[in-house]
Amino acid sequence: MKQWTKREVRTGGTVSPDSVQAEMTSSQGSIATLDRSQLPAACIDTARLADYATHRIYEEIPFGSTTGEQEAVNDEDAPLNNFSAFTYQEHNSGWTTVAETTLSDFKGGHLFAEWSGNAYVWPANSQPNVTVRKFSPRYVRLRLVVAGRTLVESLGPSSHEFFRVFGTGIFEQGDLKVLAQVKLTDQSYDDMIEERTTNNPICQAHVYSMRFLAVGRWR
Amino acid sequence: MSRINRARIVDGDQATAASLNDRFDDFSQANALNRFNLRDAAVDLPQLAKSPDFQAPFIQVDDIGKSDLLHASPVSVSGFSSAPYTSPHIVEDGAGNATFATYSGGLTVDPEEVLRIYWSLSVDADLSGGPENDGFQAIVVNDTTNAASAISTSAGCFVAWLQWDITSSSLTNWTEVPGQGDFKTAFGSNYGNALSFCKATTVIPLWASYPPVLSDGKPTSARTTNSMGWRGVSGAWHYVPTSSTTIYGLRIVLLGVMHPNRVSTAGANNLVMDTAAGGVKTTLKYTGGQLVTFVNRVQ
Repeated sequence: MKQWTKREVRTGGTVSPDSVQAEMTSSQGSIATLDRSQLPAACIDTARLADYATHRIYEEIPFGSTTGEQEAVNDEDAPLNNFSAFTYQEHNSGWTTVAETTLSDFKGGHLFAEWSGNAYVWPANSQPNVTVRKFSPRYVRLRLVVAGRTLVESLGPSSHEFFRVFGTGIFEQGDLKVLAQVKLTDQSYDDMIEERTTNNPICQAHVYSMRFLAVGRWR
Repeated sequence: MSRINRARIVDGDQATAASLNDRFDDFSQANALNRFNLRDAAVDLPQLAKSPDFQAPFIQVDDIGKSDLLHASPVSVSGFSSAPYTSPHIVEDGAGNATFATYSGGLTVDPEEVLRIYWSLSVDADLSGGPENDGFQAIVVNDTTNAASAISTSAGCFVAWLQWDITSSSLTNWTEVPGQGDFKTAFGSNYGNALSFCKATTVIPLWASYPPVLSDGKPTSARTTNSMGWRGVSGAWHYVPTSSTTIYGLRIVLLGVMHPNRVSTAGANNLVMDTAAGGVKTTLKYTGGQLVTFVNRVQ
């Protein structure tokens, strides 16, 4: 602001180089750069906004692969009336990344992300030997990991159904890596895992028609 | 810009009126403000003259289906008994009137915008005559006596998908939305969609079947099959058009019974109609829901 902030010149006062310099320095700091307190309200309209100045939406359909299916485990030996997908013979347990993307040029701020699609879980192994184990529903657990941190985690589908998980958080600026991960309920020793005549592996789960949308807001 | 490049005053300089005036003249803003003059993050919401709908220029909520909170008289859809089907079931109000979203004068979505569609519906499945092991619906495993024992995949389902009319407000040209197929593609003697053309599809489960006793990977011959019961199902779809697209209507259609099927071992995963499990054996019932149309600016 153009006002005396260090010294005020008065009639008959003595001026030294330091006194002038101090005021110049102070004034320069407030005029050469402007902060939000110096800008009038509503001084910039939408026509002057650069792209992504206030927010950015990231959208992907299909998500994860060209078909929108998970391809982390694709066991083609499953029966033809099964999906070629997760079998216990080829699935390594634990969290498995089934899709990923990068939120480029995220400017830092609030992030909303949603992941949706269809999932299949074979529920037939839900009741192992009742004298030993209790009812054990099977799930495809779901989670979104953003920049190494879990944004949202869900127990997930337990049949052949649609899912949608979404979460929000505050994230730093930069390119944010997003991982969509699933975790199958682990196999028990009573589970049916192969077909009778061919001993082919039975599909236990699949995730497909995946969609992704994220909204970053920084103003 | 207003950067001041004049050298600092130091001891020994001769201060004159002219030199001091020159320094103050340095502060005159001869040119427009630019990004150099603004501190990082200087612009905040109060400085932005935004219309309220800048980020979300359009939102609309439409009721679909039949309003029947008590499920007293839901709409019933029998499983289809012939393939390929003639026309899918359009979600309606129970009196034969299709329910869908319409947009006065058409809703134009531009390439810098994303169309977001979210919908819900309350559904139930009725089973009769044991469809869970018909057609493609079962695989065979060894039971505890090493005899063949059929067991349902529980993958039988109805599918719901989105259709729109982008031709005219007369709403006589409904087509599948981009990325979505009509489940009429032939796969051998079956008809359906490759999963890659199910981008606006929601799968609706019908039953869960399991053996009540399992031991060492083998079931007894007993089975427990439960229909899914009343539940809420939903769908989501997003679309960024490559050129401006005007939408006049958007609706949900239903088809079933569907099941996974591949033509060959290395073939693509498909969802195809299984008419053996359809007909009177499987009925999908539904009541009401909503369809939300939401447009956001991408940038």
